[in-house]
Amino acid sequence: MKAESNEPMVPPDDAALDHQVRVFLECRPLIQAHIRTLVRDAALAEDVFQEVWVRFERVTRHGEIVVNVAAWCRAAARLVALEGWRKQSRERPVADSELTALVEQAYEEQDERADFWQDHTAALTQCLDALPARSRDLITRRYHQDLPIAEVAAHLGQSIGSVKTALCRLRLALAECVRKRIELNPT
Amino acid sequence: MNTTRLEELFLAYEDDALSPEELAEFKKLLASSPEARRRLVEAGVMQNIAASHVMPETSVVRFPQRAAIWQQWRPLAAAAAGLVIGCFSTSVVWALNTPSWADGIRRMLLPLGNPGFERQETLSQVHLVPQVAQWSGMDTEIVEGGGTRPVAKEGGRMIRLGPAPEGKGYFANVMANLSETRPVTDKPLQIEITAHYHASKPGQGEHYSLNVATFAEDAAGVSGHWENTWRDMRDASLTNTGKAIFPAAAETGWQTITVRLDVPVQARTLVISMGSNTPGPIEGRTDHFMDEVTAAWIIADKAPLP
Repeated sequence: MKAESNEPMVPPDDAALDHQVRVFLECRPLIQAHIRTLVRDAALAEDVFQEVWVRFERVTRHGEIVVNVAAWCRAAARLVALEGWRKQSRERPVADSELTALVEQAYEEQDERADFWQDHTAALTQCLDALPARSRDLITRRYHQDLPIAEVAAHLGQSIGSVKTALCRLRLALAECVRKRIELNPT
Repeated sequence: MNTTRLEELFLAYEDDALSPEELAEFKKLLASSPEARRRLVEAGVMQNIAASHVMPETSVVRFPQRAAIWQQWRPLAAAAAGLVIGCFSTSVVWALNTPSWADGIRRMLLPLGNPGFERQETLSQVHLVPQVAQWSGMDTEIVEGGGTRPVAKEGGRMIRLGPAPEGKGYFANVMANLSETRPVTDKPLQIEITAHYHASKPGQGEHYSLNVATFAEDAAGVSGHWENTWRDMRDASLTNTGKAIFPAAAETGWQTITVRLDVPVQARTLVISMGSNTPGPIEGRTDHFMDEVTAAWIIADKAPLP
């Protein structure tokens, strides 16, 4: 994949390339979240992210300036995810181009808010740590172990419906907790 | 916007289980509501953080059955002395073999060779040695911690990965035998692998990765797959996964990566590959350090709810 090219007349200096890597790191929570939203498979998401980083690092090492790092990474992620699905001979889970476009729009709208999402991530980590044991167990099974709801329900000996309800409440409670923490500690 | 309904649709979307009607409803919500789109991003961030963040140990502690037996026998004063000593000794041995119940998970360690890299040895300068429990890697060696180097994570020694030529990443690799250690169970099995990396230049784009894969061949057969990069291994594997970290400026010192991998019944060999890289020209690169790598079968993963 080629970097967006408003090619400079002279090679970019080290400071510009360092800045480019810093922007990548600042955008990282959103880049990873976008990939996760796109592929909805923890292992594949990790693979895609690593490959996006390898491609980004390569263009940076070759001195190419990426004008919009987040958009470049989203485009790279889409390509890499497609390659991954093709390689695994899997049907692309997001067959609906309209939905894919809405996912892109959602992330694009947050491009200028990298600082906010860094605060959000820090607050979310604190909120996760503060969860009671039962909720932590649920989150761990669902997202750390990447189990589908039916399997989580089987592990816990509960119905699928009650696990769905518990997860919905927990996710909303986490969102509320993050909002409150950010309000209390604005940067 | 009905937030609960939106969360229900998110959950179905995550599991690829939206019905045609739900898909239409989901798209309509996202198209019409900036708040719903922002919430979609929030949900993605939450999933990603929850997948990689290791939460504090739960208060759910399950003890091995022997501890419960010891408690049942405790009131019998006449037999107490001999019984307590006997049971205590047994449970010490037991604890060494299954090191962690603290998070409600029972693990059984796989031998990886040279635990904690405490034995001084010369590592083969190849991608993979064709046998299990033998660490190897290009420009890789076991070194003493301290002095101009960081202090080892545990013990005195650790692995150093030197800058690789041609701007490639650095790797240290090992294989483990799965057939000889596989627990007897009719349930699907997983292995959990944990590695520690020292953040040498945090905040400057350095990148640490832990990649793992299972194979149907023995170690000699597997070692032939690695021609150029980890991608060669992934393509030949039965199952594989990986995780990377990019330490931020404040994340100094030792960092931890943990991954879990499904192990199909036909898997005979596990490959663990620890990598690191720093962007930029090779002359600006520094050594990287790794320590304390463990791989363990997940034996029981059903913590009782409090």
